[in-house]
Amino acid sequence: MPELRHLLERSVGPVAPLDLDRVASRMRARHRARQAMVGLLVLVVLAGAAGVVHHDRRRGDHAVNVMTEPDVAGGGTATPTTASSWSEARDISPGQGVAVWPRADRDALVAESQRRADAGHPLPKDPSALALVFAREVLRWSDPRVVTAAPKVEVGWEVQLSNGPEGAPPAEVWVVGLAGTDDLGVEYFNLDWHDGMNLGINMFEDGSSDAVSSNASIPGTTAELTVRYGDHALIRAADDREARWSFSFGPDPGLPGSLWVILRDGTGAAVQAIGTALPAGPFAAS
Amino acid sequence: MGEIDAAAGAFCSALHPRLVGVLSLQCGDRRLAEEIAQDTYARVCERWSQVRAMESPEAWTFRVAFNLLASRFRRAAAERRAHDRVVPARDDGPDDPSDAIAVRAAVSALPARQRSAVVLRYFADLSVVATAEIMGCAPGTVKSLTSQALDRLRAVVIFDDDLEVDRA
Repeated sequence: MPELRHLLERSVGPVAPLDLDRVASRMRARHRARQAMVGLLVLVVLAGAAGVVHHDRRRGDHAVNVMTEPDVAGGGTATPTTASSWSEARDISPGQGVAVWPRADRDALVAESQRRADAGHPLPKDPSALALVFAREVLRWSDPRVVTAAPKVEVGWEVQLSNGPEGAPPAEVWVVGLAGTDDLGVEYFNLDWHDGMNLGINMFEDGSSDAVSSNASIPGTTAELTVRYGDHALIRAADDREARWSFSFGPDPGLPGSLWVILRDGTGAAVQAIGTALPAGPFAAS
Repeated sequence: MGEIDAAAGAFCSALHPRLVGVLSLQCGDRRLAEEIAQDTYARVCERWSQVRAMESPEAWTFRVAFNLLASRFRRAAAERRAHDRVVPARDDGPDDPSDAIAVRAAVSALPARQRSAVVLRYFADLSVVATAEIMGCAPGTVKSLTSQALDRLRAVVIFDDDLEVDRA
């Protein structure tokens, strides 16, 4: 593509050399801001703890809600609608991030699968059936159905789900299998998430710069952010038309995690959603 | 400049033209692109001991820059709109031949994800895998987005060479 590259370079034009003094100045400014943020983050954590109490007392309120354990509802009631042989199992190293649901890292996902089986609600071993359980638990869809389900290169299994009338945008759910087990997890999901809806997270080893924003702009919806690392989860909701969240997990959690943003209607059902896995360690993801 | 590691400074300086170019094409605002690039380098330099040990420091840097751009673009856009109410708008681009103007307009008209894919692939010259890593998606998604973007660009810009889409 030399022609396109040439045109792109011409459209950008010359770039002046980097002035490292300006970079150094920004580093000093960031250092000062971090020092100021330390006190502020303490206040945020305290406000979050107060939010838990407030939330427990007034269910349905959209107060800040900080959880320390995943909120796992009973599942496994879905009936597989598509019998499918699993042939795309992924070889995931222990501790490596793999899924956004039911848990992020391989060992935790296997353990969660066992826990549910012991409780009499085993997670399905069929991609379509697992996607339906996911839709009920996470998207809070009352009557999800499988539109299509097919293996997909580099994805595993792509299942499209619908909860609305014919023609409604389907939810795209990527299901991944763990090599050496018969366990499945949801690696990624997307429900009508348009360009122009910004979603970003920056997390660094000192926990100093974390931010997520979503210009959720559908009247009558609430925006809900969920970030999970290991056994720690942070859930925040807002009914602003433009939701923006800032948070801190403190020091680098060193664990793989997951990030969801879900817009829900008045019944709690997801109308737009996106979820993606987050790698462990200092990173930036979007 | 004693607070900036010499190797970090050299890394940022070498990357600077491509990063500013990518960000300019992505957001259509040269000043914002320069600002985001500076913020990105500050993070790179602060964490240079970790960044240099990464498999691809360059990909990480692009990813940080894209995240900063995503989180700041709306605010910057609002500020620009306010500014434009009192200052006549001007084109921040260089003195352009008409084809460069057309390309810039066509690229800026692409949906954001398509624009990211085509700019990272064909301006930053990154691989499909590296682009996927930066965009947080599967390589197949990058190929699909690139193909869609090139189809749109073909509709408004005539290329002399054959546009070979990622089909691997």
